[in-house]
Amino acid sequence: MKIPEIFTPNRNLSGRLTLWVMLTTLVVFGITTYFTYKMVEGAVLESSEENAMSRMEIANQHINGVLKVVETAVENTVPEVEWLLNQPDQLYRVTKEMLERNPTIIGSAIAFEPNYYPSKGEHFSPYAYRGIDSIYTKQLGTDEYEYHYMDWYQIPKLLNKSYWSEPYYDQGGGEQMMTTYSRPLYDKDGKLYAIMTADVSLTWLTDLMKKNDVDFNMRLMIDNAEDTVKMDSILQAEDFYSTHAYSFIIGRGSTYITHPDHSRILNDTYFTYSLETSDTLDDQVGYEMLAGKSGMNTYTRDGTGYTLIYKPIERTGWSMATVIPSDILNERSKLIGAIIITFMILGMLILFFVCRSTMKRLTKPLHRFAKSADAIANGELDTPLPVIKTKDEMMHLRTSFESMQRSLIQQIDEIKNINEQKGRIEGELKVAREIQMAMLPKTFPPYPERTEMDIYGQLTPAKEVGGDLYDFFLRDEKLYFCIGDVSGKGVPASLLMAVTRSLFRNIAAHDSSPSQIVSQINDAMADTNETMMFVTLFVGVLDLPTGRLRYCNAGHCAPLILNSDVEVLPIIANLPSGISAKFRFESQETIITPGTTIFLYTDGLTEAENSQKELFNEERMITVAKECCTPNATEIKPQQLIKKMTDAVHAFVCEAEQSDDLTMMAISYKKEQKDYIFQRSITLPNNIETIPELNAFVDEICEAAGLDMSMTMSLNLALEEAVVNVMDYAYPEGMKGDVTIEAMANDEKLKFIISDSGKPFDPTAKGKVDTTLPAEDRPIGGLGIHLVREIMDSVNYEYIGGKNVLTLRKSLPHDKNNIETI
Amino acid sequence: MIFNIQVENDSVFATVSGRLDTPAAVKAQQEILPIMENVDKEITLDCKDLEYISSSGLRLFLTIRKEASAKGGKVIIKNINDEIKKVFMMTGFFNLFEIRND
Repeated sequence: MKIPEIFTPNRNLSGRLTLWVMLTTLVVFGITTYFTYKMVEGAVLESSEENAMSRMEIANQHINGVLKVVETAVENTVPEVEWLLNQPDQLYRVTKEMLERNPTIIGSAIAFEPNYYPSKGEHFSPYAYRGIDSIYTKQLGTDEYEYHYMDWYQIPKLLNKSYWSEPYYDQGGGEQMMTTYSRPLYDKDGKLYAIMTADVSLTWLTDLMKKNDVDFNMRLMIDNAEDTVKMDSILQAEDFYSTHAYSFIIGRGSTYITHPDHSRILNDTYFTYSLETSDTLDDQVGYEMLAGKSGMNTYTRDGTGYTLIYKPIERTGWSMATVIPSDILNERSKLIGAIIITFMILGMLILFFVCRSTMKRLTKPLHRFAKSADAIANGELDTPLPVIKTKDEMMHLRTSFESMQRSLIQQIDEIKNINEQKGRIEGELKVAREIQMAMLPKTFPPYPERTEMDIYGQLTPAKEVGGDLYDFFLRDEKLYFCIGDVSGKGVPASLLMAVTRSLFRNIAAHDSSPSQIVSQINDAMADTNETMMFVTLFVGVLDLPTGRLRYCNAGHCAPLILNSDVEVLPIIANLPSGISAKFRFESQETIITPGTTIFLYTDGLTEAENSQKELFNEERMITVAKECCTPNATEIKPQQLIKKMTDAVHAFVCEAEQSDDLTMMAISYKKEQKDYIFQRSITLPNNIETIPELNAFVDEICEAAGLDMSMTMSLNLALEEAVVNVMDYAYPEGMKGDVTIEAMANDEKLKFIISDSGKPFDPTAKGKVDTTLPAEDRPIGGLGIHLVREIMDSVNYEYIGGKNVLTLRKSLPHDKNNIETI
Repeated sequence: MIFNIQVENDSVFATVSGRLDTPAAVKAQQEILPIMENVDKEITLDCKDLEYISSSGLRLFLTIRKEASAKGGKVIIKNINDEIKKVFMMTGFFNLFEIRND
């Protein structure tokens, strides 16, 4: 079920703002309402009081007006009475005329002192009164009606002043409430002789008060008392006095003169009721009223609060009061309060809707921004932003969004480019690494047919491309090998490594002197070495037939010689290659005896570091090497040696990361396993005329080896070319010398060793003949040694013991296995 | 005699026979003089009976070939056996000469 947003204000801004505005307004409204209500309550009370007061004043004036008319009428008649005092019978006419002149007066008497006119008896008192249709006269006093003792006669006589009597019911006439004005009359001597009266009906007074009450209740919005008839009809209700305002008048003796309840008039006094309650406040009010004071007071009767406002009617000494139940005033205040609250609620509702719609309208762009931001977050960078027309914070936000979008697009593009470049560079580095690794010999054993030696090499690269190298190849019965370490790491080192390896291959292809090879590599590198990088290099040339090892070191670590014991090959340090052109590298040489292993390595081995920053070092390396040289194990397998060394290094380094390339190469030099089955030799003088003898010798050998015509002819050609070469070049012109040719064969190989004592001359050092050149460009010479190389498997030259030794080898076809033993 | 040479008006025909080894090639340098004097002609060397050839022998062929192309002549080698052909192949001579078989 969806919860309306107003109940979940935390989830949206407009709801929250609206809620806060509403709450604040509610509090302000509440406080305002409370105080307003209080003020209204006071004002209602005050205005009700004022209203009651003014009503009572009006009633008071009305009553005064009526009474004053009566008083004036009596006063105006007094001179006429004095004038006619000698004609007592005329006085009937005077009273009658006064009634005729004043309709409010319903009766008037001139009551003389007893026996004032002796002829008229004791009770002379002319009296005029209104009958049903006319005015009648009569004498008031009789033996039954001794007026001299009545209040209206006695009180003015005693007080010597005019007097309004307390209201009373007219017993003779129409049973109406009346009051009588009594005026004492005095003669010239100041002696009282009569009291003149005028009777006035007070029926109108009750009506006046009733009308007033109806009016007042209407004002107080008590609508079920809209006229006097209705008022009378609801008068019987029990709660009348506690739900309606009413007035009453009490006389000087606190008797009710008017009261909504007619039965109380002239029957009960104010105190009859006030005394019924324990609340003495109302009694106090009664006394104050009787004392002719005016004021306002509140009291409680039967749990209902009342406000009583009172005021005297001074002419008669009566007191008038209005009673307003507090509930009416409260009702009034409540009504006004309810009106205020209604308006407040209406206002709040309007405020709520205005707030909400405004907030929604204002925050609507935020939702759209959120949508846009979500879309952007999902990768839709070109998502359109909401259109903002206002020039407020939203516009500002939009501008910020726009620039964010732009810079996002730009930066993502940049990152993409960078990543592409990075990926490409990484890919290229990987390829570079592969190319670098492919340059190194990887097929082991590399020369399976060679029983006199075994080689194994291994390069364990560090993380990045590095600059270690090893290489070897066989040429003319000589093993050319090198191991090196380029300074630095990374692509530059790997490039230099590739250069070094190529130089080695190219130079060693035609030069068999290690110092020459190193010198040429050095010169080539130093010439163009602007980056000041260098290579430590060890180059060795091992002559396989003789075991002679010539080597040249260029700043590389000394190889180990493993035999029955481990020795370090003595080396001259020289300089690393690439530092100084024309540096004279010194060659060294030694004889390697069969059963010896040469172990070459780079400093990646001795400087392998474990996590405690300790180096593997030379001692550990030699210890491992020695373990391979147990006296019984006459033969050390290069691969096993390197594996053992690798395991030792790994065990030492343990978890630490390999920081440098680790390169090792081992070369075992062994005795040739297969002895030659036969061996013959011939010595010829250095005269080409003896070539046919050589041919005959070769034919003989070939026949013994069971070779066919074609092979025989090829071998003849090779031997002839080789021997002619020696004859032509080894000895200076005219000098006599010998050339010895030894032939050795087993069932696999044929070997010829051509030796002479002439000057050192290396026929293999000649450049190769380019057989693709056109005739015009072909040199005449050089074909001989070319043919020898073409025919034989290997041609090897070595100057050893003062002799040029040229060794030619040829593997025999396997099916030819019929060697003649001599 | 290794080279047996017949010189005609606009051509030279020679048979090459036997072993053309180093000593023989030294001697043959004299024998090929008639060819060298007529290198502007079409020279045919019939090697039907040539048994063996060393680099010195090859040098003779190359000398003739060079002279001929310098003087506007032409050298055709005919009927070389398989062994000689192998030597020609090894030295690239097979491509230097026009080789024909009858």
